[in-house]
Amino acid sequence: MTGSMRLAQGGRIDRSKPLRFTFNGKSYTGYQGDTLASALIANGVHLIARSMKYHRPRGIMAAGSDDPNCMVQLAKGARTEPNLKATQIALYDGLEATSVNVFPSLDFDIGAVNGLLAPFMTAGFYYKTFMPSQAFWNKVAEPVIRRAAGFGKAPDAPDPDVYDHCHVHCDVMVVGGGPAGLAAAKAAAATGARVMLADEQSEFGGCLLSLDRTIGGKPCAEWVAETVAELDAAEEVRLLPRTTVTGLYDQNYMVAVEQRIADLTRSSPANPRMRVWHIRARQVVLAAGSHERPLVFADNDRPGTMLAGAALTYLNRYGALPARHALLVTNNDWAYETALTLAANDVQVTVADTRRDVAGDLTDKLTAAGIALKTNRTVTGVTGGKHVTRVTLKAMNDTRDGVTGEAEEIDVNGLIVSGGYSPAVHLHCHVGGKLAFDDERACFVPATARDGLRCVGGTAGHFTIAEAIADGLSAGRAAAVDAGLKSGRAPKALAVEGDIASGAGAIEPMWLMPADKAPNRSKAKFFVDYQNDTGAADIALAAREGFDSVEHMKRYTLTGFGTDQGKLGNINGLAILAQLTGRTISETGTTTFRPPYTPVTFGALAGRDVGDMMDPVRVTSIHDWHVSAGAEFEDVGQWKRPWYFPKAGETMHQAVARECRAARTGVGVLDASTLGKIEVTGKDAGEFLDRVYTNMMSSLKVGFVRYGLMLGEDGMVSDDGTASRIADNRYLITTTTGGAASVFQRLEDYLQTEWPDLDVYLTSVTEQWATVTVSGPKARFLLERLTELPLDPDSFAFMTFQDAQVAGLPARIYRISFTGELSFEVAVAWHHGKALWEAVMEAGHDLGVTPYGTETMHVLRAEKGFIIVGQETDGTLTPDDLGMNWIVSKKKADFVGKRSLIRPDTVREDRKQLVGLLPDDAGFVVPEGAQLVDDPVTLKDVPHFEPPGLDGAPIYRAGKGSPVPMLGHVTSSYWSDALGRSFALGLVKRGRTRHGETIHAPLGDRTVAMKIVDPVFYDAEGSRRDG
Amino acid sequence: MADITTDAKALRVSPLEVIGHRMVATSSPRVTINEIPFETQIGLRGDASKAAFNRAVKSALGVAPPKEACTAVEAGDRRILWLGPDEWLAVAPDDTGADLLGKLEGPVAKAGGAAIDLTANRTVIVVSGPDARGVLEKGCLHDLHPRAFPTGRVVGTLLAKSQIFLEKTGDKPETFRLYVRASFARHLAEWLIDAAAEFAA
Repeated sequence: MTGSMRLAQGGRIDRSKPLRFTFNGKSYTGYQGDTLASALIANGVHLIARSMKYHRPRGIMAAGSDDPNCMVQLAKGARTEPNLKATQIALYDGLEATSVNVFPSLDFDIGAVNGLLAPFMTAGFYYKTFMPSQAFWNKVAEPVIRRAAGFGKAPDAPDPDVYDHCHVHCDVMVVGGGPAGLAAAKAAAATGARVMLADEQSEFGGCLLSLDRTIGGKPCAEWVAETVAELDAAEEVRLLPRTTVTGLYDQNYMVAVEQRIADLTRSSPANPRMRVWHIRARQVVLAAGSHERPLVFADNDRPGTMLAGAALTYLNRYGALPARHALLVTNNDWAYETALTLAANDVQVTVADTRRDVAGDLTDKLTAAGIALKTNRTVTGVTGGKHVTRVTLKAMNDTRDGVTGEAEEIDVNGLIVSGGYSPAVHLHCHVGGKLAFDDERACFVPATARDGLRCVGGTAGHFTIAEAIADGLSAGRAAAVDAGLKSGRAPKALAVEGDIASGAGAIEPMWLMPADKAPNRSKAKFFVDYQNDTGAADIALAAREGFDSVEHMKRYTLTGFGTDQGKLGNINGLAILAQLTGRTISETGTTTFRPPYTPVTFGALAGRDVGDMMDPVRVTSIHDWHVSAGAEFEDVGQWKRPWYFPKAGETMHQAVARECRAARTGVGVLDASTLGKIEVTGKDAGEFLDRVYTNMMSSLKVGFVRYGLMLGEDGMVSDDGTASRIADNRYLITTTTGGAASVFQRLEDYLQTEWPDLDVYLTSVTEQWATVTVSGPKARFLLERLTELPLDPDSFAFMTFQDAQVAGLPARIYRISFTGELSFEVAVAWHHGKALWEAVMEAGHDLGVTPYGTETMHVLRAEKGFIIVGQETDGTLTPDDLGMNWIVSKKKADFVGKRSLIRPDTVREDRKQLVGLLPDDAGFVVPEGAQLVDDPVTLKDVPHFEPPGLDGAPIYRAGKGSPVPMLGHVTSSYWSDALGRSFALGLVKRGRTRHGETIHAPLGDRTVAMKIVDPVFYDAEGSRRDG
Repeated sequence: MADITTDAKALRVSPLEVIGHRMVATSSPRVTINEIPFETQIGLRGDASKAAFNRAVKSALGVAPPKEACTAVEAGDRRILWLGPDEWLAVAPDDTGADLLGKLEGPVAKAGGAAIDLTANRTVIVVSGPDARGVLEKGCLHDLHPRAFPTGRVVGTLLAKSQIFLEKTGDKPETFRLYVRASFARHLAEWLIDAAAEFAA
């Protein structure tokens, strides 16, 4: 079919605004208001894509998100998007689209040979043929099939578009802006309720945009325009066109995706391409409409085959003629509207009805329009490779399960079909709503009530406009009242004129149309699910092979999968299964409806949680100084901490060695602000801390500091830090940087749920205090320049704190040491952190004061054998494993984890224990995580798995000998400037009894021997901490 | 804590000082974003059923801690935010810090509670204007409509994955105060600048 199929007038397109676009490289023109599908139809293009399995030519069947066939790849480069439906793409100037699933081209597709192989490619073919060999499937079959069967191509560059999210609440959410939805929104808004109305199309009105009706005495288009204007002007109404509610969840929470930019306009934070709405509504009105069903007959997928409602939409809404010679095949009255409208536009129309009797008023109308009507007919064949050219009809026999009489051939270029309507009950079902089959209307309708949810119009099986409007008005008002609004005056009823048929009794189901041969004996295909190429024969095979549950049938035949989720085919499929298995449709039931209703772009789900905004970056008040000093940063939880401060030309190794040297021989300074800090107050504060630390804290004197270890209830070390007693009933405790939030929560949990009798309050003060650690033999000398407080060991003992002015700032100085050197931790208000740091740097300039980062901190503490929770520990180590029994109180009646310390497993003698490790090769730093074994094996000799490739399973490499017992691993490993060699900490079974022995770390290409030693490498006698 | 000298005051750097100009640049008649740095904030813990605790708070701040969940009370330039059944945040202008803490610490402790200086722990971001709600709705799960979130409402919540206290302080134009931890402030401010771009002049 060629040439313009555009009507000279009519429709909602703007003929003064032509838009140029290309499809498969060929240029076309459409108009503002077109979809890609309507523009193609107006250009006489129906062949849009090839089907997945058989690569059959396919055309446009529907006019909305229910279309199974017309997927295209839109745009190019990073903004390309696969598998969009041409029926949902609003046309824009410069649009470029190509068919998916074609190779090398839409017209000549090599995969169509699959069609010839079709007898071998029935349901279950892939599983039966390929699955027995996992390796063959992974490496050969799956990639090849995926390429042949896959739809569009994913973009290979990051998505340049911007998406965002919005969280809103309302009294009444109306899903769907057709007649029922508009009426519901209007009635709800009249009460002053906060109303939201979303519709997936760019214009509100739904089917009213395609129909000729009178509502309240006005043409329906006028009523739509007035209603939308009225809603738009209402203060508490939010209208969301181009917005699909993709899921309904408990408590009336909905996710909706708004398409804000539908062309090549560049998006930005100020103008996102899509917005995901998170909607929480007191009441929901589902007015999602319904989906028309095709009929299942021989070769019912030829391009040019179209649903009756869609044909009406293309004609009335877009002014695009779907055919010039059309045959309408129907089993219901509603489709007659299409026949009459086509005829009114000079299309030559024949109607073939499967029913024996058609209502007299309809036949009269057909006669008046010059349309021939053939009743009791079935389609036995459709010819036309890339477009329908001829349809063969036969009469049905008396039992209506076979054909009789002569074949009748009708030459056409359009085959219009209607098998009735299925309510769009998806959202009702998302929240567990049940369905019942309504025989009068031949469809599943919502059968269970749910508080706060109402189904109206087509969604309730009410297919006439009169029913929809009445439904909407009453549901909208009732929803607002249930949401707590005062009802006021009832909305005025609206008279509707123009419905061609009644709601009930207008259809006689015909699920599988009789043919010359049954589907499984026929060369023709009786398609049920177009997107998955599932035919009636496949469903019959599934039933024969025992997959007769509807959920099994779905998985076996793929009915209902794919981007359309079976909106057209599902009901036909399960009805045919019901017939084959001798059950009713109700007994057979439906598969489960799950969100999303239509596919959602990944970028939309990510929203603004991308790049730097993916997760908070927490910074200290000294951060900007670190940045300008050229620090490299390490992520510690959400914090950015300086890792090391390289000078120009320095490697990390050189920088860390220099920083270590400064802290050991001069003075170093560390930003320790990130440690978690909690104020523990109340008369039971000491008792509380006794219960959560392994050691005694209630005996601590005011002004003193004590190191503490926290265990989980399993007896394993979970966090460590210090406790300082500020006053009798007041302590400040510190936690690890990464453990701050979880420790706070755990302590609060104990207080609220286990020990509510304790009079204790916890207050997080992590960011009240910025902390600068000054460490090294010259630390005292430096600080004395900034404070008048005496800092000598007699005046300021180790593990005490004092308040003072430092650099003119109110401060608290703690004498604590994590380096083994003389150390002062100076805490000031967070907003004074930078001033303190700069004062320290200036005061220590002539002393060579050196900022150091976390790496140097790690090296210095490891030289002293101090653990880091989370590095030496992994949730499986007791204090004894770490050689820290000295900190476990024997006096306390109980503390968290105490009882677990005497379990048989925790007192086992062969537990892994903390040791020091010295590689024989003193210049080699063993990687952290290296496994430790007794035998000096090399890895390649040990049986092992190699990591899997991208699409393969891991491969087992058999080696010599039996598996080697693993005795432990390296937890920390560094170069020590102070020792002049490499060293490590590690965990080794019975390690404390093995000092002096050699153990081995197999590292792939080499195996390193290491001597087991005491974990304290430096200043074991502690002579340096007083300076 | 010792009194803050005038010199020390000049040395303060607020968490958002470095990006303040960008918040200003984003602001428009439709929405403004500003930091109010260094406001005195004092965490109050205690038993609100005890008269001594209420008296201690009232004599220092001019108003007793609110009993109703998720509300704030005002007394002149001071306000108390309800954060939990036994937890409040007292807020007062800069300059009142040491004085206020001095008045609260002893009496509150005596009444079995605690008053803890949290001035530096959080900073305050004020989002105001006809589209203030539109900015916050991009990340805040609460219903911020005036019918559901009137002036005087306070909630602890997450915004941009950062824990905040959100207080509604005015209706015309709608004005919200966001109390955010100092280390998260920059991330939150960046998020607000991004979210407000849609409403920029």
